Amino acid sequence: MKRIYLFMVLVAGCFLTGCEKDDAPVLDNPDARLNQVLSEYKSTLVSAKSGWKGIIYPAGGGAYAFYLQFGEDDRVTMLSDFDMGTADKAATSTYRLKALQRPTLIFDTYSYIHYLSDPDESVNGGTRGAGLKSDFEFAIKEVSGNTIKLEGTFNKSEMVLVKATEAEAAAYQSGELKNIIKNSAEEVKGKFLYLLLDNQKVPVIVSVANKTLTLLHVDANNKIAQINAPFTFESDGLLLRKPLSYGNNTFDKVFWDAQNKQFYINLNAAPLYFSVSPSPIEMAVNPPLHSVLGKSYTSMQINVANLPDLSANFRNIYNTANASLGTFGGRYIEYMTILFNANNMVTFQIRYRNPSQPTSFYNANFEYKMTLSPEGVATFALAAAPAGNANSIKNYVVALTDYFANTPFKISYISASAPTGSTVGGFMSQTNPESYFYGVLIQ
Amino acid sequence: MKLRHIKVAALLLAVTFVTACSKDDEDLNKPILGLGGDSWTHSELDKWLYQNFTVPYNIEVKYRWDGSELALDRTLVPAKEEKIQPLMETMKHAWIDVYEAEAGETFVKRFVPKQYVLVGSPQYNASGTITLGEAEGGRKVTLYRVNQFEKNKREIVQPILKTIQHEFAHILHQTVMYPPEYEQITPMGYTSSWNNISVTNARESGYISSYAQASPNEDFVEMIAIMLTQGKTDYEAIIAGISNPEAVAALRKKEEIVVTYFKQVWNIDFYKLQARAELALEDIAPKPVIPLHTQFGFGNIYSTMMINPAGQSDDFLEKYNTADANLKTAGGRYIEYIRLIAEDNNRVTYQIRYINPSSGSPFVANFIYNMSVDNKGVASFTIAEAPAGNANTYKTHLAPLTNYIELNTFKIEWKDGKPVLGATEQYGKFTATGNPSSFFFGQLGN
Repeated sequence: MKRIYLFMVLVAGCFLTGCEKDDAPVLDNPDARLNQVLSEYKSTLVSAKSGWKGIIYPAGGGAYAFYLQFGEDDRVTMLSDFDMGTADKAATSTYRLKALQRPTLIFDTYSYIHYLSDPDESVNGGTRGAGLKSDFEFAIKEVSGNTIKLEGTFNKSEMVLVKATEAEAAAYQSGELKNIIKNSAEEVKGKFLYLLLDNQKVPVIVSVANKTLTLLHVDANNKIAQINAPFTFESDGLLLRKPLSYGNNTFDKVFWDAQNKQFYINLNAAPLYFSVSPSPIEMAVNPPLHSVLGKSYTSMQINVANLPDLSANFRNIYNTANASLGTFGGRYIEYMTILFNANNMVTFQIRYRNPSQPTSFYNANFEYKMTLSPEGVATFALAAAPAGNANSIKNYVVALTDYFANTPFKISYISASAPTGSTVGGFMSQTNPESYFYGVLIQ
Repeated sequence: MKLRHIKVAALLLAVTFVTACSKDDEDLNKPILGLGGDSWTHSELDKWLYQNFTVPYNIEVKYRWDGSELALDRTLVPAKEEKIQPLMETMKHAWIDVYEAEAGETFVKRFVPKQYVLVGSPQYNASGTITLGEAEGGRKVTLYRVNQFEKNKREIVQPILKTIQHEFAHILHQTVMYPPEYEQITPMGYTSSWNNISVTNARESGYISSYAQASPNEDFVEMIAIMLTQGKTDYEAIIAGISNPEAVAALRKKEEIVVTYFKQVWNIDFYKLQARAELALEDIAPKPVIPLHTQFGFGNIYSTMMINPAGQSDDFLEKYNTADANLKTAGGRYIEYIRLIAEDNNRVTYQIRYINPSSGSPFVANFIYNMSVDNKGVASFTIAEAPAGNANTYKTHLAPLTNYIELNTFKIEWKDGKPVLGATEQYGKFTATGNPSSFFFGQLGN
């Protein structure tokens, strides 16, 4: 019985304390606080008179720059480095701040930001039904100083907004974003850029189309390796998503010198300009390429269709030979192969087709004896009179065989565009620095 | 004693309840913040939508992105602002106004879906199809692919209108069901894999579209939507293109049920509705005009043209009247009408029919020409055979009319620049080159 009594008192006690309810929220009404936060965010966005530099890193990869000006009237004007058009012409659309699960900035009518998300792949080159896997609803994660960090609600893309300065705003409004894209495209077109870092020529590949910057170097395993980062265009250069390091040199921004029309980086507070080489940069792989011909590699294939960096000089020679071959019943070159045989013998093989025999191909083999200097400079001397197919087409392709036989070539690994995954070898003329060819090495 | 203890305890308990329950909820009138949804500064577009859709029809047009209205697992993008007004104008003109004219304002206000959600991109489905529109419970309609909208492009406007008509028809049958016989017309073909069936195959088995094979409901609304957006002529062309007579019969039966349903349930004359919808679409995105000269000729769509004097150009009429007066000198004969008849081998009979008052019987004088038409539609006539019979007898009397044909070249056109929409009678016009005020026209036939 005592236990029942005790139990009852206990229950009663529970009710007593349980009922001491106080409905008044400790802070303010949560809805009111939410609204207040939203309006504070809005006034932050609107109060930046020079606008915001925004970068979106879509979940699907890449990086895209925006210049945004938020208006009190819930409208936003933007430029983007998506393409030359979006960089040139400002577009206005609407935005709003809304409390979803978090306070969220929604770009709620179509503008340049949506180019990235558009599920119609023809807009952005992404996948059908998904686009570039980007976002246009961004939850605000953090506001600190001049920076707002946001996260996409659908694909979790990253977005960073940084307050623009007055000078930057003026630059964006006067079309500098378009200019930088245009200048960059011109700067990299058909040129081989490199940075002299730690006394090494380090090739730099700036892809304007993919917005990636790549450094090539020889790694600890003696392999040619890449270090790369996506970048976005800013009014004064390229902003890398992450710092790139080579040895002790680190940089995260490439500047554009409008006066000298050159890229540079700042290293130890001093500018280091990108150098331009007339031919591809040799890569110091050990052992060098000329010492492993016929050992590591049995041949090298030169198919002009997929080697965009071939020198103009070589292309002219090739085109002359191909056009001349065309006068022989429409025959045309398919590709060429240099076969490294035993005893420094080399076959320069031209594979061609005859349109009247559409299913067949023909090989014309020109045999040479290769002499290599210790530095890797090769000369070729005809070792046997052309026979068979080589004999029948020799007069048509004489431009190519003459070039091959009369030019001393430095043979080395180089950095040049080729099908993905391939290793390329370069033959650089030692008499004309602008003349060279290269091909895909085959094991 | 023990009992007393319990009683005391019970009392204590009771007291606690009493105190516990005296709670004091001071404020029951707390404002609910954010009630009424999102708000923003109203643009000109917002005002326009409010005035034209919300005020008269209580329709909300939601064009600003609201992810909660849409599928959560699909990539979609918002609509472009500049597409909204042209799209909604089209919808008003080619759909709301059409129903309002035939069925009355109340009908429209009662049944139009109350919310339109507009989405910029199409909705891509895992099956490889795309969704262009969706309706939910007669209240909400979602339209996709708004960013591709272009008002004067028929190939874009027509599918959107079809989507709208389709969803609206769902509301109608959800309100009053169509007769059960409908789904007994082609009961065997309904399938969830309708998207693997080509339109041709669907039509050959008695369904107006592939989607019509999804279910009887879809079948019913597809019939309505296609009849209303294709218009009479093109719908008839669809039917004429079906080779299976059973399929044609099935579609005719479905058409009949639709027409009866509209009359009996909603008191709407479906064919009038269809004609009105066709005209409205023509206003917005006219059908490309097929030049008449490609349709006039032997064995072609039109091979004859009947020319009566009323309304002809002064120049032509003068020749006509002179010839008529000449003919009157021959025993009071007079011209009844003229026909242009296309014959084989690019020949044309220029046939002048006249009456001999003594017998009251008609006679024809046939002048045979070679007609050559260039690619711009300019025709010239050269004599193919010497006039014979009646033509030979009266050739001098009728010379003003034959000279006119022989000495001019004529541009062949539709009388009003394009065929008259929905009309069974169509008119062609031959205008003398270099003289726009000299022409003759007539009713086309075959």
